[in-house]
Amino acid sequence: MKLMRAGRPALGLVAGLVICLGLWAFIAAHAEEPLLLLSLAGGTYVASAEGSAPALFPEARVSALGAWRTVLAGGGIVSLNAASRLYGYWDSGTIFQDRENLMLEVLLPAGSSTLLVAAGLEGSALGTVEAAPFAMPDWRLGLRTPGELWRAEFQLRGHYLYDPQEMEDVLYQAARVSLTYDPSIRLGLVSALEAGWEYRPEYPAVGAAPAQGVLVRAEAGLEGLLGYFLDWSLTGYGGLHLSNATGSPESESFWFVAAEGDLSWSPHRQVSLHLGGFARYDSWLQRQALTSGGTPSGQTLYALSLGLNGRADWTPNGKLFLLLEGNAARRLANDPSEERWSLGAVLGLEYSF
Amino acid sequence: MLTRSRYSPEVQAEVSRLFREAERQGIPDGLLLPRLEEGIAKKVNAERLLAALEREQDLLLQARDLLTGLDGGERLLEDQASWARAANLLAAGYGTVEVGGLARASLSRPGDFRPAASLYVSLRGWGLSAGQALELVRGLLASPISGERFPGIMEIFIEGRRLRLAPEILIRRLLEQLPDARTIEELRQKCLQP
Repeated sequence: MKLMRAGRPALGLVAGLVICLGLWAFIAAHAEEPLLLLSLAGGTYVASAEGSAPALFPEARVSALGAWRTVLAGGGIVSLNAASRLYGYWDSGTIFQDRENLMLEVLLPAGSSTLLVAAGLEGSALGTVEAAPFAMPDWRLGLRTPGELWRAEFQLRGHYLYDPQEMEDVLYQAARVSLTYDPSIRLGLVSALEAGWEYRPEYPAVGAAPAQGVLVRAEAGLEGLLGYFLDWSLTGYGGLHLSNATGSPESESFWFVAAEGDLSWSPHRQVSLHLGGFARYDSWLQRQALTSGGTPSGQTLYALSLGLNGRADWTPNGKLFLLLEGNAARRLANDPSEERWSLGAVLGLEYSF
Repeated sequence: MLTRSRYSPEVQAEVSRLFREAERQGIPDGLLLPRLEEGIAKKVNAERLLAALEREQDLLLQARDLLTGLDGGERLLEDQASWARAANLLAAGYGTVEVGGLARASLSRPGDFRPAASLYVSLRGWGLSAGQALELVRGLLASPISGERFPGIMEIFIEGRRLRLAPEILIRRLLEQLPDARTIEELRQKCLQP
């Protein structure tokens, strides 16, 4: 866990909030129905990494989410979503983490199709459970075809990950084609193919060549509606990442297969339940697994990651929400330094303005 | 069917009399048979069976009066399943104003009265008011979206709920987009995304 101590300069966080507020003021003046959601939650987080003894952290979260949109004269839609979450953990001292998101999306009619233009910024000034402080602008340009039975979408998408502490900067650019077949509202099939190129400007590569990689990913899934109130999806995907970089596991060459599922049930507007789960297997082509003593084991590294999450909420009036969240994650590998697990449970309140 | 049941000859005769009376009133046997089959399958006592058949007959007559009272309502009545659905709505406690409103909205697409009614019941059960549910169903029936896709509206509400989008806001967006939407997916994209 990459946790940062309180008191660390949070310039990025402040800048992010200022940008959010500025855009909020501008868009709110033109938007149809701004949404503002404030949330306060508390719970516990238990985690163990690299075989260490489990550590239990009391946890508190404060978050704000704003969403605005406006419909253009020709039928286009412009929307802006901004979210900021601040997490506090109490160990021997106070530890703060945060995550911010900002996303501007535009949908424009293009003949019978729809053109999508989107740009966003994701970041953290204090770091998150998974990552050190980072900023990641991303962009998407897509074209969706209409159709009830068959639909297709072509997207050009990319991001730049700015990672000031870990020398993990990555530029990623990809093309993605997805095809959906919906024979009925009860069952639909989705498939997608993505091919991308990445460049790691700060990374040591083999020889003098710049650190570059390619990613090919294919996915297929099912989705549907059970009765009228249960929405579900099940997706499997797999891919290959080839790279000449040597450094963190995710920068090197590996293949992966994964499955994930989601289930949302809302039998009444006052109640909602969401369950999700995933399993992912990664196998590296060259990277060696290390023994507990830190010496090469003679095997290439492989890891199996498993996760479950659940969220239930209830509202008496559509404004105030009482929520309960839980999650569990486990990573198994043939390298003790890659093994970890975590459990979390949170109880909170949200208020929608 | 009746002779194979365990009801006494007297009860069987009473059931036959009820069916003959219904036929005289213009109610096809096919509309009462499901209730009789249900009673036999559940092995309910004779008193309950006869009461259920009489109530069904009464509801079917109420539904017919309601549908014939609409200009063009005979198109719905021609389809026995639609007639039965109207009676089911009344049996479920929906008032004649609600059922009449639903039927009136379906007159231009009588073949989609049943999916419209099912969606209406789901929307009401989910917590929308009669006015909100009827307005949405009216909008859907006026759109090119086929009846078999109507349950997709509930999927949009479930997803909207997850996004903390108030149903009232979502209803406004749906009604705004329905005139131009060709499919449920298009509606979903325009109302929930971005």
